[in-house]
Amino acid sequence: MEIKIMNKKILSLITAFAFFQTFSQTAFAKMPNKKSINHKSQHSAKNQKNLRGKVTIKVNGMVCSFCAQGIKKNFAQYKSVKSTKVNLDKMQVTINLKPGATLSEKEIAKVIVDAGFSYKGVKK
Amino acid sequence: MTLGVSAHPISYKGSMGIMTYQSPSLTHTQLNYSFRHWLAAGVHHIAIPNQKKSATFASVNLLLKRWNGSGLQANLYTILGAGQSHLGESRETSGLTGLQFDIEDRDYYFLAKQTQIFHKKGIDLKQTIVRTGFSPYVDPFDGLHSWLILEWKQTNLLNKVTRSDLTPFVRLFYRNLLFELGQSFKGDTKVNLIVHL
Repeated sequence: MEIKIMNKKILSLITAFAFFQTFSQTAFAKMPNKKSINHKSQHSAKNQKNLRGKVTIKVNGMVCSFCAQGIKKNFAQYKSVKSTKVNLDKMQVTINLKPGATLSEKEIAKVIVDAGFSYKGVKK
Repeated sequence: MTLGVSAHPISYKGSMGIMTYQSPSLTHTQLNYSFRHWLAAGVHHIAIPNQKKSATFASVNLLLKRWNGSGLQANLYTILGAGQSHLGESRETSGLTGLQFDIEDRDYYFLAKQTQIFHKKGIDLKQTIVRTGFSPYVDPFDGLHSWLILEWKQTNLLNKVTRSDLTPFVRLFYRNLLFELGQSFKGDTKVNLIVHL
């Protein structure tokens, strides 16, 4: 009985691993390098530039609107932000800053990382 | 993670999650707070309906690793908890542990996890869940999203009963609210509800 249970466990682990391997070979071909996916310290925005107006940000890992709600909620806490729009198809977040208001790229990156995603820079 | 609800055990920094799973054989309700996107604390109440048996835990939920790809995300979580379990004959100081892996893009989803409740006399409950699903359509961010999910679950209770079942679920989520409804091939109706505040 124990051997059967062990075999079932091994089989399920192998199945999960095989699925992951297959998935990763296609999808992860575009993965960012290891440094940029370190979830504990990701502030790749070294630029302290203050941004104005409409800012479009490229974000990796946004696949689910339920999970990405934190982006809208956290940007809403900034008085300088008028509105936030998330586009899952384009993997982008667009924030509209209030007239005369600015927000640093560093702060923008922090919001994205705190929401659990990878900041890939401002779209030019 | 929970014994029933299969979603992210940690959310975005500063969020509070309320999750409940209801089925004829097991219920599990969890509150958690995410201090960081990789760290949350939770309280759990697990009960076996109609038997006056339950367990209560406090836990730490950790995101061990996340892969944020282009249009793809994969996660590896663990949960470590301590509390009291009265699922057996007596009330015991118990531990709760779990490991969860999930991967999804906008069209497909896969999850595998194992959770157990144990104490010095043995394991009270051990559960393995594997899920796979797809989205029949893709909606914009603020739309109503739906998924069709098939779940295989094996539950071992008190080393006496091993129960396996296969359950198709319909998952709906809108903004910060997620709802799942399923009925196993054995006839059990199951409901999951998650709210992020």
